[in-house]
Amino acid sequence: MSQTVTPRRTTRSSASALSSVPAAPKYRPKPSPRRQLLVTAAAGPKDYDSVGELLDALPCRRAQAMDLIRLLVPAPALPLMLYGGAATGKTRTLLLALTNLRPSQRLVYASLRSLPSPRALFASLLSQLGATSSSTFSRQRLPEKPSDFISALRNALTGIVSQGEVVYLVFDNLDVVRSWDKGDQLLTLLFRLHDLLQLPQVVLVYVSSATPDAYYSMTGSVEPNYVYFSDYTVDEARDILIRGHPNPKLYSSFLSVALKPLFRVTRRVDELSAVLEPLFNRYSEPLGDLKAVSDEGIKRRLFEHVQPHLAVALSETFSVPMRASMHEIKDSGSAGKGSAKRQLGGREGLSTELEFHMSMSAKYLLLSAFLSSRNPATLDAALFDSTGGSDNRKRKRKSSQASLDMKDTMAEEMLMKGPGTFPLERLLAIFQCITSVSEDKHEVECADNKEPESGMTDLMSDVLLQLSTLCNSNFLSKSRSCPLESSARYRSNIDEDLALKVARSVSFPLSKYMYRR
Amino acid sequence: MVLDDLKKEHPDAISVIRLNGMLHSDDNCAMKEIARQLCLEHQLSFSKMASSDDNTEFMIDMLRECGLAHKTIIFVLEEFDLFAQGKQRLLYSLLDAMQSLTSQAIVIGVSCRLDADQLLEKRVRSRFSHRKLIFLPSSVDSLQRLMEHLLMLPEDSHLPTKYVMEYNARVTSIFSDKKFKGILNSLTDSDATTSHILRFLFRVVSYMDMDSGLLSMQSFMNALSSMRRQPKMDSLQGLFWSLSIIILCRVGLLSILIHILKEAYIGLCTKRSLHSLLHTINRTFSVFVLNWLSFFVFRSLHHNDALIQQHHISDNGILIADLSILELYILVCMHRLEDKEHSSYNFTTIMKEYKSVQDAYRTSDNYSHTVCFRAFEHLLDRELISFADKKGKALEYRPVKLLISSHELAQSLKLNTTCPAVLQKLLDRERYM
Repeated sequence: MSQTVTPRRTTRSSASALSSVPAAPKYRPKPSPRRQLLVTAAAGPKDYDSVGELLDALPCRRAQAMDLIRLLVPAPALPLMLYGGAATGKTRTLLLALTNLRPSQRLVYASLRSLPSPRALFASLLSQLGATSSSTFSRQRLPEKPSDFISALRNALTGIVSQGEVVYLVFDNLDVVRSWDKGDQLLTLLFRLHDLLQLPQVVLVYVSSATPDAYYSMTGSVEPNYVYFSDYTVDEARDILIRGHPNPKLYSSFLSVALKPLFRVTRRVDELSAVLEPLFNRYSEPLGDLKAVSDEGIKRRLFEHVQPHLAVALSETFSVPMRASMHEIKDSGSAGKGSAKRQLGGREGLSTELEFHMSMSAKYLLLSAFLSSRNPATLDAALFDSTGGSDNRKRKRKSSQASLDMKDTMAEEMLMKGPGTFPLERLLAIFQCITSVSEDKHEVECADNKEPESGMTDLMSDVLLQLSTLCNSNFLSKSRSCPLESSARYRSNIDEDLALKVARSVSFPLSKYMYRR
Repeated sequence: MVLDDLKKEHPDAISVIRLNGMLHSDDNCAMKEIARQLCLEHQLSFSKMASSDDNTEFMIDMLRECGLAHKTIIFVLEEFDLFAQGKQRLLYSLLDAMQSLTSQAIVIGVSCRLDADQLLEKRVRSRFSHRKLIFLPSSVDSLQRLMEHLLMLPEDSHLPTKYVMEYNARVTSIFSDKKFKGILNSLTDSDATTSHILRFLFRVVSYMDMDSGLLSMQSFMNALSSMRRQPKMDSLQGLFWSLSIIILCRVGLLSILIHILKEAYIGLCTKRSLHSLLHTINRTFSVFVLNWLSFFVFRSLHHNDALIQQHHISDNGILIADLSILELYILVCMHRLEDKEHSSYNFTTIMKEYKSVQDAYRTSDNYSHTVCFRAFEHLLDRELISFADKKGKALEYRPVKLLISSHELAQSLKLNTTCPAVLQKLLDRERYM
């Protein structure tokens, strides 16, 4: 890249405005912006040092940053779209490039993920364009219709552009617009802004996680230039994670064992760093002094220490550190490797504890909802007899090939359809049966106890309140009510593991009641 | 351009009102905008509070006055097809106003759709004069002339003449180079619109050599490769054109020609349409014709070969090459389910397939339900898979479908360097089964 800014380059930029229009051939769409583009493209980055700093601040994004510089820095530029997966550094690269290399230019940034509607977008853009200069603006109505917005935007922009500034309009997270109410219209409007505004000093930049195919439209708007941000490779991820770490040597030896297996699961750097953080704490535990230079023997020891936790981390999406579990693992860690492995197997037992608190009635309600969703309604009479107990008769049946096939297809269907719906009455009936069963048990257990049991019958009064709480927390969901009966039908959303945990916490034999094929 | 010329010729006799279908398709909006522009033209004050009826009356009055004063009003309606949605009240009132004797006005509609006039209602169409001007996309020669015109520096610029001459000489030499013709052909094969050429030229200029300030063939090649979104379409489209024209000229099936041209004009030449075309050819024509066609196809492929060779990966292929191993497993499991002719499948069935694969092959990539679900959600975000129904039950039970073809999947598995051999085996084995 050249450092010298020769005089001829600066004069080229002033030559563009006066390009005359000669006698025209048939097709000549936009001659003057084209000339301006040509001319200022050669201006190049003014300050060599800041480019180097920029590339340092953006690790492993050298190619994309160079692309951005090349396409954005010449002032009248065609619209640009950056696309790539999540957490690939698009917004950061763009904002750093714009603020460092062209600090004097106006940057108007709108993140569409944080704006709820088109109206909010219009308001945000107009307020950022410094409509505070006109005091009457706040008294005017905010533009709702696109036509009002375009005229207001054009007014604001012409004011700024006539003073010689270049304005960069950045639209971030463009893919969320597709799920908005009038999202398609807004998208076409945003992509046509270049044509509608007809102001070459305004540069539009779009950032999106969806590929450009999602925005392809039939109308002929000016298509933006595309820059693709690929995901990071293992080495790049390692470089990024090491940057800025207080203890790079130790961390790099940690990453050399921990990163590769985790990378097979997910490549997103934000998720990786969230998982690696507690693991690194675990890794460096045996080392008293973090600054100690580690040789091979120490490295091996540390690796053995962290390996069981690594295996656990591979099967979790995120870990909520609970005080109980941390204690257990700490104790076991000091006891040696063998018991750590046993504890690991037993950690499965740890995770059978319910990690949040629910009231007793809510737990029973949840269990009855799970059973109602899981079991077909015809089974209720068999499972719950009049006293509320379960029927323990085992039915022996000859299973023929046809019935086995039928069972397979029904299992398949069950997988496809998911949990079934049930009316409210069935839920309450099962709930009553279950609680009466457990009431008996509790009475038997607390027979010695002099304390009066605050009866389960008191639970019935706020069952409906509990039900609405469960619905709000998404444990149950309300599905469409049957038009004939017009009663509400519900569906349970929890899976078997959670139901088993809840059942274990109230000592309820759930497996006896579950329908198995 | 024409309007500007006319305005210069007859300075006072013309006033232009511009409306855009995207912004002003609502009638009230449009009337307000017309009234505002009329006020602007004639230096009248515009009241924002005027109702739609007031605006309509105002417009009719203005038309009459301008007609009496021999001033023409030109209404330019861009995105005309968007005006033709809904009730078309605006179009009707505009065209109705033209019918009165005293008004001197003309309505010009501009649209991308060829059948925009078919969208009009009966009463509107009867008032329409049915004059259409069709602008065809430019030919390669005129595009080349355009490029020359845009890239050459004018002689009387403020830059030192020596530099200007050197620059122009360099550009002329590039234009007469054979490789440049190849580049231009591959560009126009996929998309011959001027905006595409403009984008290409912008990229060429951005690759200008900073030291000398001159363009070179390398900058053109770099620009072409950075617009590599099209190259796969390039090869297919070029193939398509040569195929279609050859077949149809020789066999003379005019109806198919029209259909294909319409499709190509819209620009939706996909691999599937190519395959279906080949199928119809296979069914209806003889082997001799097929051999001949394949010879032509081969030649046209070689013609573009040097430029296209490195860039035969589609966008989706690149995305798949970026996925993690677990996500690849999920994609391969979905592909296997589709091969087993499951008409619909959801996440739980995919997990069942995944578990069976793990049991069969005992790989080290056996992950838990929650982790697999997270990978599944990543795939949904990247739009490589999507739900097959609108809004249904819980995420795990909604039917999903693959949005990539098996060819893309196979190709990108090869590209992914860390892909385990098991996956390749799984994918290949089901092909032969």
